[in-house]
Amino acid sequence: MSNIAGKAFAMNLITPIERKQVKWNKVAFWLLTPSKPRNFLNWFTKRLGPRFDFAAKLNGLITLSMIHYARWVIVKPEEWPHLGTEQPREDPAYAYQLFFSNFNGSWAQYVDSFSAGIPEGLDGLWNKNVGWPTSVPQGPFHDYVRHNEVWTNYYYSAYPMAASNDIKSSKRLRNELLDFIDRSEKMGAKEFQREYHKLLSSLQGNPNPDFTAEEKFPCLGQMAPTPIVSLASVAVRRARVEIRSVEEVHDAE
Amino acid sequence: MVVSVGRVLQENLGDIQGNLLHAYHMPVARYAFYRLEDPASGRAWLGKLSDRVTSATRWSEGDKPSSTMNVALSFRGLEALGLPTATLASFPEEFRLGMAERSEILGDVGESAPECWEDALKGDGLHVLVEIHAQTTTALESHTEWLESVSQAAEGVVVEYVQDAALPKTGTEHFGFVDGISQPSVEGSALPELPGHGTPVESGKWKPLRPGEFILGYVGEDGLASETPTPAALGLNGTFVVFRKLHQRVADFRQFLRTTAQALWDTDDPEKVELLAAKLVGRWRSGCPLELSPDQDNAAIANNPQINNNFRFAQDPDGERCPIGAHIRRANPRGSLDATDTLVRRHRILRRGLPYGEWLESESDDGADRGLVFIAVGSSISRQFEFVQEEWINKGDLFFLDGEKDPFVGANDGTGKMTLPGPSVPFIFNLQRFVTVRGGEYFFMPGLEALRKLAQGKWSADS
Repeated sequence: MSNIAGKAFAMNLITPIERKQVKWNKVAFWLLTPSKPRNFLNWFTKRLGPRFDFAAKLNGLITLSMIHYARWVIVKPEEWPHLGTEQPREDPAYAYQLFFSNFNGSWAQYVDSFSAGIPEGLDGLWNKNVGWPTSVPQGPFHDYVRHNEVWTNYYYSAYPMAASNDIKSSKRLRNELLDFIDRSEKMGAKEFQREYHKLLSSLQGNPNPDFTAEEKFPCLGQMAPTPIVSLASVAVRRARVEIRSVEEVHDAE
Repeated sequence: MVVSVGRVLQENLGDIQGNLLHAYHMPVARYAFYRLEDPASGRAWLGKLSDRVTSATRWSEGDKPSSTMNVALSFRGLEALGLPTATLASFPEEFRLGMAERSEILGDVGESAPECWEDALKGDGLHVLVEIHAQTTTALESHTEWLESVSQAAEGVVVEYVQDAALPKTGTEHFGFVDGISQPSVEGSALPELPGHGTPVESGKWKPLRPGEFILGYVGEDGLASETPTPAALGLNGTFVVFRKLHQRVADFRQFLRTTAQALWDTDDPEKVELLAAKLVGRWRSGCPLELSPDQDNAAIANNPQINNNFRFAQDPDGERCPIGAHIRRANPRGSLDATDTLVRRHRILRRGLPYGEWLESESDDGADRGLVFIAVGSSISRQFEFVQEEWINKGDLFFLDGEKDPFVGANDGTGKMTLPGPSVPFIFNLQRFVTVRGGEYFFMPGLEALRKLAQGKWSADS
């Protein structure tokens, strides 16, 4: 259908790598394996080097919190699916790296925040991929992503209006509310009002930039569809054409 | 195509049109839109205009002209001049599509949707935009007379629409705010660098933006020359101009402030009404930023250009002074997404334009049309104006505000909410759309040499 489901955007990049490079990149991936998000992100921040101050480092992560997840996989030439004897054997000249991510926000925002926030991390992940222009400057980087992007044919999200930040916020809200319900049972009306307002204020601030402290996410925003659901213009028109053609099919039926 | 990486902006001011890098600061303006029915006569007409187009050359003391003129072309206009397909195709996609086609990205939905625009502003007839700015109405009229005589003499040059604009007697926009305080400063533009206008750098100072962000053919913030259409000479010293006619619901806005102040603080005391207005915008009506004076307006700050823009939101991470969702914080999150604005500096715009319509004296709506002629200038409409409109104005996710939209200019529908960090009042509810779009278009404003060559048909397919 399209790359967009509610507030989420799916991106797939398939980029060629020299065969002989594969083992080195696998080592790099192993080092980066995000089994513990904290370590993964810490690794990035360390790579940013001293020219970024502490605040800038952590603020880069705020933007990254809009990412539901991201995955990098290397597909070796012999690993391409072979579905049966009727399919001729292929021998691709290159191995391929698949990058697969779901995120909230627009294509441009996503690509830019990666390039601005963790440029050296990106250069490490796409190390020696054919045609990789480096993550900065953004123009050639955008071109590279566009050139290698593969359109999503079908994209389903069970909770299309729940952005990654919405989920974090909601979890915190739930915990705080349950806690407040317990605490408030014996409160008088005045105390209740005072404590309730205190609760609201404590829940509405900017997130503490410490990405790992999930309880710090503010959670009193408005969970609602936005008028624009983060579409690249191409996607807008594709979707329109698709909707129209679906409607026409229905009409014809 | 990338050209002239090392080109110096200052040496080329004479070839760049005026009111882009430096505002004219003139109180009246007229925006006239023309349709071209014939390429050859259109070019001949453009040639006559090009002799009188005002450049960015700085005026010396006492040298300021009584009126100025600038010319820009929409994609339909470039087509109407007979440019070949390859040249037309080299312009960016959003410019080729035009503003109406981009309505979903811009949040121009509901009452702001192109279907609801003024008839003349939603057609394909806005080929050429001619802007006249003037010191006085008399100067404006006399310049217009000249333009009219030249245009009437030209065959197939048809006036499609005219929009006048003038600063109301209050010297503010129609909601009562002093506008246009914050503008990006541009390296090599020969303007004084006021604190707060560029990009925050460590050490508390500010760095002007690189010229490629605003003029085609120069190095931008990514270190590369901004892309130009081909041939490169057509784009060089040109830029893109966004024109939007924004209708403001002044009576509704005032009413909203009073009823909301009543709901929040149980009073419609003017002081509270003013505080509420300031919380929506991030500045008091005087222009004094909340960041520098959160509890009351301060004229000394407002009137001092060395101070009135010199702040960073990083000093106020929770938004207790200036709410995170306030208009000026969304439109330019200076220093709050990351300390040195790496996520901001590629998304800045120069704002020009003027209010239109009479100041509303009465309490209730008088039915008159009033608002703002909004002009945004940048070397990429999609990366700058559209990005700001889509990601920062009409979404909240980046700011952890989920579905909240800009309370002042966002696409709210009466159910909008704004988080108001601080100890007293947590939210504003029932935000409606105070600003509706009446029409608009994307334009390309070429350099003077390029404009002359366009007029000579140098790049046209039929000549």
